[in-house]
Amino acid sequence: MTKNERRELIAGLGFISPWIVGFLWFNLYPVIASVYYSFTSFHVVETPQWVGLNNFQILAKDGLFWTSLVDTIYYIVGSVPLDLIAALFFAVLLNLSLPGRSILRTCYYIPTIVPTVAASILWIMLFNTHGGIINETLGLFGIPEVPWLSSPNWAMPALILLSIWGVGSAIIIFLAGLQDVPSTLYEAAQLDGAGPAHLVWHITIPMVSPVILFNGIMGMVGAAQVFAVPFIMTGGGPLNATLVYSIELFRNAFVYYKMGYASAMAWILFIFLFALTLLSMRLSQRFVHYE
Amino acid sequence: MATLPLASRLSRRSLLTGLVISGASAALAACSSGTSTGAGSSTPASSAAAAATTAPAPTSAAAATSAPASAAATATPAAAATTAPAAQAASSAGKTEIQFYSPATDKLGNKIIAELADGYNKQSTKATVKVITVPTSNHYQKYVTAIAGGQSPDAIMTYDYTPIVDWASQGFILPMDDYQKSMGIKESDYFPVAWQMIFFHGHLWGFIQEFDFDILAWNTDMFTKAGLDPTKGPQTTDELDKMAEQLTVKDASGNLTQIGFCPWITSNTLTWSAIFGGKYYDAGADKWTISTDQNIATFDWYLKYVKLLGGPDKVTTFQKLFTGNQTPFYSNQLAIEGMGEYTPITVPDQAPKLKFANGWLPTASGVKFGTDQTGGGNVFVLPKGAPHQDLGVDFMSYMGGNAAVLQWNVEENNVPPVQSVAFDPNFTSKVPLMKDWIDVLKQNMMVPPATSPIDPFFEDNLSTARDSIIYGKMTPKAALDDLAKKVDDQLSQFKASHPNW
Repeated sequence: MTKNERRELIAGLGFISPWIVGFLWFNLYPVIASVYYSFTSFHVVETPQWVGLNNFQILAKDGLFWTSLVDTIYYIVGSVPLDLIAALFFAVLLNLSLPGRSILRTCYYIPTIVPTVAASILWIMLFNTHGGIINETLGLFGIPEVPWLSSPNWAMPALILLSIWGVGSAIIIFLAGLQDVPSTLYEAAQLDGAGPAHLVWHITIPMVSPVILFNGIMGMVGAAQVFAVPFIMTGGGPLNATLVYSIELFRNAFVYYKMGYASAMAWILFIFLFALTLLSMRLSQRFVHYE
Repeated sequence: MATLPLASRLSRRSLLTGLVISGASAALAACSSGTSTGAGSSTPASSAAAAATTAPAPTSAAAATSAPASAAATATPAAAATTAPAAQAASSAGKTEIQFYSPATDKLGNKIIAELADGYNKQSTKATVKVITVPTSNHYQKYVTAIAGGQSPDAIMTYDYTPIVDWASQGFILPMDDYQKSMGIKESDYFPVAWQMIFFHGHLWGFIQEFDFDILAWNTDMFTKAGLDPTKGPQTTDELDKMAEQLTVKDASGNLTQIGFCPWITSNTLTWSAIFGGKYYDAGADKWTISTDQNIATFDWYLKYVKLLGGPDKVTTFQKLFTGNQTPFYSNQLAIEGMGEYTPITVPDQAPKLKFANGWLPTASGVKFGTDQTGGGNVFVLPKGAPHQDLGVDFMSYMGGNAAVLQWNVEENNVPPVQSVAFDPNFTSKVPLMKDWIDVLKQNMMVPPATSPIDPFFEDNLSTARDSIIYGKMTPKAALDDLAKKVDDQLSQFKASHPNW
């Protein structure tokens, strides 16, 4: 390394030092500490007591842990494919040469920047059983009122439907992917007599398959950690129907003050997500097309 | 390494400047503090008692409103921690500033706390108190984070009793035994139910200023319209059931347009269990008593209402017709409900046209009329790591003293835990509505909250058990057996990590 290069290195490190300090102190240290805490009985102000695998053994027998895991898987399975389909559908539409396209794109992105609390309260009103706009609209077609957030059967489907509200970011990423698809492919297919559906199925989807994979994995990670919306809208109820993993983790950590137990839960979630991501990557080799 | 043109032009001075700025940024980042976000708080706890007594005459709304004219406990939205201006006066020379976390975000509570803090600041030669208001919904996180982070205040007040025993068992708050004698605190000064709330596990854990419970309220206009005597509320659960049936109205599609009574939308499970002679925790034996005949009978009674009203979804649909202050009871569409004893004074502000009366809760056969359940009350506790413990206790003893207790209870329409204040003519003449409930206390018919460290867990899971029963997923016995098992498991885990508790 030359003198100049060393100087640049020092300057570079100096300029990113706030980030390095922040990362080490506020991210890396808590992450490593939580590994240790997951093997302890730790109640915030007391000294952590080493308990080995006890937290994990108790978790295995904890009914609420399993309920929260099942609810979270339900949410992932319901919301991720739905959000991907919705995002891709809107992205394809917004990629067409329509008048006012930029305004439409902005409109679809706006929900993403609405604060979660405000959006949740808005959706509580929209999902209102009596007088909510969703039930009122369904009523026009003779569909009886659905107790969206108050019924154990409907609360999770309501949250899954609500997840479409936040697909703006995925739409933007899909749009970027779509604009990368060479127009020559479409022209060649059209010369061969392909219709719009064929173009989407045989060209668009294979060409944006890496983006689908990316959005799918990010969606899974996000869905597995969903917290604010169910916490505000249902509090995990009714009847634990929306008791997603993060709410149960939060309760153990900040209501029952079982930090060791909550840390163990956090690491199980990490392992679950890691396995899910690896599985997605493995499966993706069959259907993801890289140029 | 690739050479950037900009970097190659860096002089030593600009590099050093950059480093200084970066270092300062890092220091700022490290020093910045986060704010905690809200979380749920839960409701009261349990236990049972009974003793014979005579029925009180129903108290009219007019009588209830003869309480202080200043009463207007309109809840204001919980904002971030704020400091009461009245208590912000700069500390006088030689006086130490102490910090006090108050939960009083409501207008009336905030006003009283500010006045009391001012009073303390004027009379104390040692300390000036600074009131920091922390919304109740945040206290689980805010208080504990402050204590764990070594930033404890000198005194803490809560509106919610539920976390107190848990905090004591976790070491978040300190026993005040050393101060008990010097402050002249005696068990005999308190009603037994109040003493149990602050003295448990062999230690004194705080001062209690008031405590809360539910009273029965019925809409006199709706009673008259239904041909019922508006001066007489139900005294037994059988009478209540008959009245509820008479007062419930459905439309042609079976949707509810008026409800007589519904146990799961007013008051709470612990209160309704108490009127069946049920209790979930036996403080004397330090034992949870969940799946008992009385508690099962309570939920069997809930199921009668599931049948009468057409199921919980019908009730929820009905409830959604009302928002904000326009509750079904205030809108003349729910005839009978359990309301907090502090509520009657706020009704004229929120529902000026509502005509209602109050009385004791009805009881099941074999349970003494007048039996009730308290969920706890306002408690002052000493946090671990309080920098000025003696001064914190001095302030709390002022707040828990007779004058402050009298002021709070007169203005808030609460029942004082201190017997001399409860029987003081200055209280009884100003808050006549509370007379009947002081009789309940005199006869020890008030069931105390659970003094178990796992009470927050129990209460969260009691709600789930209740829902599983009213939604028909489990029978009352199965749901309570399941809850008892969960509580046992939780207790075993707790005992394993807290062998001395």
